Amino acid sequence: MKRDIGAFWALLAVMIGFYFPVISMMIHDGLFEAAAGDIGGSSSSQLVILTTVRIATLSAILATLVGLFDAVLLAGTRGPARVLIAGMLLATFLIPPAALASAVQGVIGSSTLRATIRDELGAVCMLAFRWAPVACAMLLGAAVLWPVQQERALRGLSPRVALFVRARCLVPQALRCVGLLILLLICASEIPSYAGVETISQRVYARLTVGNAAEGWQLALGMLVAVAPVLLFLVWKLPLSGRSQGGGTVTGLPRLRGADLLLVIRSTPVLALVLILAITAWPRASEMAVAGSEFVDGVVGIFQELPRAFIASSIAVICGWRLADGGHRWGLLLLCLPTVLPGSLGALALLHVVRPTLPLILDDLPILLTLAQTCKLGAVGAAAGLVASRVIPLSESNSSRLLAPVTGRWRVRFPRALPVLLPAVVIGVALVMGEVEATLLMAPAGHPSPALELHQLLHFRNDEQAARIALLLALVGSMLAAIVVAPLRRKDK
Amino acid sequence: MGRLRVLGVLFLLLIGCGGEDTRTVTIYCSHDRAHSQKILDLFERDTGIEVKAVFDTEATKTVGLAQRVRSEKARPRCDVHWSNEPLHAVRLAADGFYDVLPLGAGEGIPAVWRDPDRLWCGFAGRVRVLALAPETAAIDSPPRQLSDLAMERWRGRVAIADPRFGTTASHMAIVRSRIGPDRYRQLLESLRANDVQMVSSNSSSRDRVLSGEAWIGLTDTDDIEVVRRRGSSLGEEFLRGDGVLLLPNVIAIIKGAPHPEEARELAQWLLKKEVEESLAASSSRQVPLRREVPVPPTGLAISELDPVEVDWKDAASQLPLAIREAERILLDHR
Repeated sequence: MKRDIGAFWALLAVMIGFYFPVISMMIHDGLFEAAAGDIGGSSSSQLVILTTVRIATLSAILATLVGLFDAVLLAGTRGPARVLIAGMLLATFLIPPAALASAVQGVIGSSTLRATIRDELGAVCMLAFRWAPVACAMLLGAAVLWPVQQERALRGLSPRVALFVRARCLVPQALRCVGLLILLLICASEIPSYAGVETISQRVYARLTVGNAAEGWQLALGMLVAVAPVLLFLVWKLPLSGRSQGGGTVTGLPRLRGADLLLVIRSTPVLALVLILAITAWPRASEMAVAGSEFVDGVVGIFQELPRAFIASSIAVICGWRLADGGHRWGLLLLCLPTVLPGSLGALALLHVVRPTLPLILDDLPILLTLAQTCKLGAVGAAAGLVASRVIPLSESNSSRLLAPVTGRWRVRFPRALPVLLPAVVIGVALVMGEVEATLLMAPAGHPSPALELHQLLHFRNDEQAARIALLLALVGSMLAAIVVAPLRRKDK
Repeated sequence: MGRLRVLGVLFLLLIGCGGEDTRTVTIYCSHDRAHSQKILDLFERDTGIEVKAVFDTEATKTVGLAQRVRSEKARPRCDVHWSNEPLHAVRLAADGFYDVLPLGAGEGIPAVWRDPDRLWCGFAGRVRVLALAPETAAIDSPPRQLSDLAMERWRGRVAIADPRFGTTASHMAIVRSRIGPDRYRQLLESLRANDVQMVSSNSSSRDRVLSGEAWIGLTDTDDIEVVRRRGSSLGEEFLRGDGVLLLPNVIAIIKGAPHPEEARELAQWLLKKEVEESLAASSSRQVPLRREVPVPPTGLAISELDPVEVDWKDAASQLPLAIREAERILLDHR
């Protein structure tokens, strides 16, 4: 009991920022007056749920397959410019979805993506293209954390066989990766809307704004029911414990020309995207002064927003780790749930229920926005926490539990979990920087938002400045990732 | 002790942040930022009142900020609402979110563009229009009314924005109000049968025409003008067969606004002739509602357009049903 109460603080943010306001709004909007059979809405709404789940699942599977391919090649071979290639692959995730979709459609939309192919298949391909680096990072992390003996044994096999064995060893982690990506992609609305596909986020938003709000809540609950198995799989099926960090060096890894060639082929579309953005971003001589001042404004906006994004992401990840470390599965489940629901839903509830109770002085600070975005990152925090709490060898973990609880947790196990938690924070930062739904509803007047700025620029076909901001975000994200991941890199000794 | 000192300093800083020497006003503006920001900067320069503005995105145009106004009912932080179309404003007025505009605000703007109880006032609008792809049959013999978009020759060649948001939602509600529910549903059915492309926003509709994926895109005049000024050669056709539909911007003051005095000043200032003139000359090519306001040669004058008269209250009351039917027919059966 005492142990459960001690972990409650980790759920405080999500309780105040999601459950309390959302349940209050559900009651206010008359959800519970509707019949239980209405959960999920009408048959047409159920079709939207089905489409959303289908797109999220297919995208998650495709992204994980691509990520697995990248991770196996990067972890299992050595070769030139691997860090550069890994950094470049990350670019598709760091470029905000609106800029990515606009650039992709600008190039191939008019000739290739026709009718039905343009719609669902286009959405799946673009989502997988964007999220594959996240799958790659997760699986690369899992590969780096293999026990030393296992890694040595792999290096003793013939190079090609070793690659297949590595892929097979990563399958359990790949399944968890699919689960996490489904949760994160279920609310994706920007890329599908560019491809002309309606997802559940837009439908819920339309219901909550002009229409019957209770129907919006029914749809949201329907969505929860649809993804419940994934949630339970992620939280209950814990990864194996007792791993140790032993990947260490690249010595002994094979050098395969085929692997180099495959990585070059894999990098080609990413390189093409970056080049298209770079060419678009390059100002004409006559526009140099205007472009320069716009660029400076963009830089200032991004760096103003960065610390807040870092705080939101860190809170979510630390809460997730604390709950996972204590083995609080129900707590993790509660932390994950807000990720599955549209960001506008939680934001509207916060504005209705919590904001009027806060002092007036806090209105000009983006506290509620940060809280809403923290809640939205719950699944990232939970997944990072689950993995991080299992990478410490069991003997070490048990020894630390003999110390005073606070000392064992924060002085021993938390520093050992940082190699997993820090990359998760970077993923969270990238998600917050591109977030639109809650920002639109909650950002204080004058608050800089690179994501909203991008939307405005793309609306006016100011593609040049949009490309500059997108590239800058990718660059800042890469630098952040490099700073965070540098201590984890393999080193030749 | 050290920690207490740090906490004390932080508390003092927080308190210090609250002091406001300068006069400020907060505006929620769904008109495009590139145009409205310049106007708000002029207001700051003229009056010395600092303007804090919140803008919205194209995809959830108007609805996002209208919903934000609703969500903040218990304690508004917005002073002035600048909506880029009238129907959501009419609904907010009916639901008691707006205060009365100052006497004399929007003088010269005809009564048809104002609320009889002075809860909102329209100014400078844009016209619903068809964007036409150059060098296609759409330029040679363009459709003249919405029902023409259901003709076989345009099958799969027409793009329409998400009918639940922005001016497309208003357009749908006004059509339903004018032709009645049965004919409205028939119109939607015929559009669906003709494989119209549903896209996220008016600018996406225009972009489909620009990229050649569609020949005709239902959009607003300002969306066409901004790309024309960047070198694109899109054609345009007003739906004169249905009557030209002009959707004005709307200004309203929020009831219980935190800065009521400044809100009145800003509302009055925005409804001046000079603001309409400036919007008419900008790349948003707005149509001044006052006939006497000069319009540049490339601009649009209300006297030439002769827009249809709309019963705003009836159209606003039709909005939820119009959206629901459009969603059911156009979006659910794709």
